[in-house]
Amino acid sequence: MSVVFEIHEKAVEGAAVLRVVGHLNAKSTTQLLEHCRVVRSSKRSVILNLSEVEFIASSGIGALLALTEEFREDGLMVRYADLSSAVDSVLRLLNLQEFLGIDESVEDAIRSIAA
Amino acid sequence: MGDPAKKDPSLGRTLGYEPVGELEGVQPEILQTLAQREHSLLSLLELTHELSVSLDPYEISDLVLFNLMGHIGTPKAAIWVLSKENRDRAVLLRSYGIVEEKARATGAICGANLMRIMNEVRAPVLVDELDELTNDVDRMIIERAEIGVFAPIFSRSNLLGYIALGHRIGNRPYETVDKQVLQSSLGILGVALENTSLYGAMLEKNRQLAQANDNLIEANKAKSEFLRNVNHELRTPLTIITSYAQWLISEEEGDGERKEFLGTILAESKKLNGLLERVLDFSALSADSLEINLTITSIQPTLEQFYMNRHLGVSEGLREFKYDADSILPVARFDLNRLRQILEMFVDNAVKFTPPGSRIDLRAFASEENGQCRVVVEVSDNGPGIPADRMRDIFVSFRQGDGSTDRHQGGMGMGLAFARELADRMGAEIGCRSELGEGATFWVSLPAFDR
Repeated sequence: MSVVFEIHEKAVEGAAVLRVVGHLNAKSTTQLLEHCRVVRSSKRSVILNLSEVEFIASSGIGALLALTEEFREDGLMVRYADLSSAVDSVLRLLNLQEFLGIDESVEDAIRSIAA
Repeated sequence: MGDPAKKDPSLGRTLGYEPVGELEGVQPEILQTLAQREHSLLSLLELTHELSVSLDPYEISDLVLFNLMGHIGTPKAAIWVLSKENRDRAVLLRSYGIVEEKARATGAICGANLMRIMNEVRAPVLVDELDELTNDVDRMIIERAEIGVFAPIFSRSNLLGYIALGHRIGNRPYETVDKQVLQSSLGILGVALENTSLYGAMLEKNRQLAQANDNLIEANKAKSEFLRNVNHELRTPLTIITSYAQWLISEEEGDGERKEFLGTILAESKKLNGLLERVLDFSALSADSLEINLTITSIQPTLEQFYMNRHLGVSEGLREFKYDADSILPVARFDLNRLRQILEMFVDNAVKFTPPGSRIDLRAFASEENGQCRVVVEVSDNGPGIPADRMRDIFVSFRQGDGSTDRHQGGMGMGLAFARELADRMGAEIGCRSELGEGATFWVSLPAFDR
């Protein structure tokens, strides 16, 4: 069964807010990375709104880690906001919340970047 | 936010796996460990599932690196694969979180050492464990790249490459189970990469075979068409011309101009007939039915007879024709008629491609190749020579030295191909050498035996 995967972008001051919808697996990961590379090349940070991610695979988590590291190399930030329970439980299980930079809401993430 | 011990049920269900529910009365730490183990298992399942849908080594590398990064919990990973051209060189395919220059330096400087270690250990190696196995320079480069573990990629005992993962987030150590998952994942990766390589090679080979097949079909079609033309369009009328010319000569009285002209018609008809015979022989060669009668004997009588037969005809066309042979030659193994045919083609070729006033030499001499006694017969001319880029095709059917298949120099471009086939059938070697503007030499080298 094919699951819809969508990325909706909204610009805020100094960052792009990406609302991710669907499953974050090996297939969709590539799409997300490509999208984030465009944001990174414009020297903006990124906020990933993951409230509508119904499933995250190991490859999806790996991609989030790679994204975070690559943005950091360029002095930029990736913030993860409004996690769905599916994402939240896996990140907790793997103890990755601290490394990834998680915010309760998109507004909190915007504040984290501004600070 | 949820309880850390709670598993994400969708993780298993998406893969068709029903996770175990919460266990009453089990300590949270144990539940956490169980959940992590379950996550490891699901990661492996997920990897197997994902790798079955791609045949691109770069896509496969992405899948594996992201899967392992997510499973192990590290933001750094890279993969190197051994180059097909040079098995001592590891090529960086992908790098995430490790600055590309640092990843390249790791492969270029430490690659050979790492491959040696991987071949010896055949299992994931923590960087701490590498200390005794590497030198200071390697250690410094690996440290700068912030790598925590290297692991080999094997397929059927062959090292295909290796991956590197960074340190685990939260400074958690790599545990035995992590190394085992890593090894299992890379086992799957090895098979996937091998499949990719085999599939790619098979596609390329199929393409080459299809191309070669097309060429063969085309060549065969050209040959069949050509032979059909020869048989139907030339042979029948030629037989009639020859018969009538013979009859008219026999009826002609005296030695007048008319009889001379008829004689020329008959001679030229016979020459054409000889050419047709070659075509038929060529056809027989293709059908593998050409008769070869090898004898071991002195070559001089055959060459002298050949020279006598051709000398005046060649000279008449204003080409000087000379014959020279070592006074003592070993006996050689050859078919008298087939050798004569080869020399006919050499001389015809020399006449065809030299202008009047040129010189053609027929020579025979003893030679030695790899301790084997040979008799070499050469036909040289001082004509325009053959361009280097045409030498390769000189013995190919329907090709002339000028690369054309047209008839501006006469002939059909099959004489030398036929000569090569005859030489092969006799167990002889054939070849030519030439320099542009300096003429050409065609030679046939026969197995010989000292008396």
